[in-house]
Amino acid sequence: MSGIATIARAASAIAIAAEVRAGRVSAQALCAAAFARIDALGPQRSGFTRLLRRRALLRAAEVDARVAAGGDPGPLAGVPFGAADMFDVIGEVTTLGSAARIAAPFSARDARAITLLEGAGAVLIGTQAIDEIGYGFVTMNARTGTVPNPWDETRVAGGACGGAAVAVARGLVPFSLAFDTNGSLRVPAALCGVIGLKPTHGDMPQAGCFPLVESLDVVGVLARDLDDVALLRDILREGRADRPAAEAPLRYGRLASWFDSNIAEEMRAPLNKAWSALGRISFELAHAEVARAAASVIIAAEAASLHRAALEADPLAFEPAVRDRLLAGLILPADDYLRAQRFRNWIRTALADRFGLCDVLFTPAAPGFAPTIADPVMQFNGAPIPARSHLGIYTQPISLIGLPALVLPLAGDFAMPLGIQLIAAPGQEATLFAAARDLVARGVCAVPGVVEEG
Amino acid sequence: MDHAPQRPDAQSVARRLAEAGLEVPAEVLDGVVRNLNVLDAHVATVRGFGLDPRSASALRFRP
Repeated sequence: MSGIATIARAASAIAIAAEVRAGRVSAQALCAAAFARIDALGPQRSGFTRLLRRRALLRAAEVDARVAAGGDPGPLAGVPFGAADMFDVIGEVTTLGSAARIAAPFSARDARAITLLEGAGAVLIGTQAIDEIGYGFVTMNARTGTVPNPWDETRVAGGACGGAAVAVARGLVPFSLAFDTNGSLRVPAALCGVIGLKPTHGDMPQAGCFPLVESLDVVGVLARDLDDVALLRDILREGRADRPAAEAPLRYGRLASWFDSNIAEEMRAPLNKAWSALGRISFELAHAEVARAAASVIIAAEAASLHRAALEADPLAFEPAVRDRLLAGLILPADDYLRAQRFRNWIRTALADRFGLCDVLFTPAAPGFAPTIADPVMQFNGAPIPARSHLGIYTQPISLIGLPALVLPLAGDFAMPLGIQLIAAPGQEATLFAAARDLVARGVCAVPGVVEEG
Repeated sequence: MDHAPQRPDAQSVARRLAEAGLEVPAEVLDGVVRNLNVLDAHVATVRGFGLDPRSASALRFRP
């Protein structure tokens, strides 16, 4: 493998940018290498739905010109990245992976997050596959196809941001811009063996990211390197002051009851091992099942309202699984939506005292290995249920409560990746980073190398 | 008078959608009924919590 190919494939964003800033690698060569690998894999295996070749190569040429002139293009100089197909890209249709959006207008500007990343020198190379309108946990899309898990292509990648996670797991890009409503980036991070940051609601700029559920949506990132994730957050927060991390040694607590039920056999022993390493303290999150139910009610009502015009125009433009969920949400009584919102604010306040007792809570990020594409179900209370709507059983309550979370792969020789979800108090992302570094240093967690291409 | 909630069926879902201003093909109704049953289970869980409306705001979206 050539030097450029090795750098493009396995290096962190920070390392790639260092090479570009030093003039040892060109941004245009990095883009060309990424496009060649994506072309060889094809849209589903790469996770990319649309390549922005002309835009990317022009942008990369600007970065190279700045380096040649002795300037500094920024901390992400020449780093290629992708964005889930929920983010506006100027001159393109934000398709949301939906046939219902084919005739939508072209975007007049880039999403704010894309502008900030490119302002730091990064190069957007394409958009990435999602479940239709971001509503699902499997990235099985009737229009753009099913994105297979790179570790076992008979299994799902997870969703809704499956394309973004796959592109990172394969080393096509060192990071992807993604979103999280209810686990949209955390579930695929867990199933594909990458890092996923879902920050506090409002931490990263939402402008230009098409909503699914306005009261839950957040912008986040997927990457393989913790320092990359921290840098990306700094850039996306536009220099706003941050709260310091909790003091070491960090106090960990495992969430029990709801978060200890329905764990698949392959997850149980590794999770217990991590728990032992972190002190075997557990906490109850009372009413987690109500939190999950409230999240489901809020999502159904808000998503249906957002897509009402398209449903009126042609309900058959949506794939059946999404259309039927939206139509059900459309006839939900307003009283039930408001009850769910009321519960949401109540449990946020009720949970606040937990973080006086510990700094970081943890749960599985998903029940176990990725379900198969042929039979995408999982076990729930002893019965098989669709993975499309249930893989987020451990992420949904955390979204409802509005807590930041970071998914990190567990260390070990497993047949497939297994992910742990670290959770902190609102605004305590720095504590999440400190915890993630601590877990890596202790050997509890480790990000696997990029997937070898067959 | 019996106020027990009624299970949705294709006919009641078609009527509710029409009242909401949506005409949908008959072939989609069974799927909507299945999803509405799931949603109704979530609604029952939330209703069962019985939170006093004065205990929390329903309209505050940020922490």
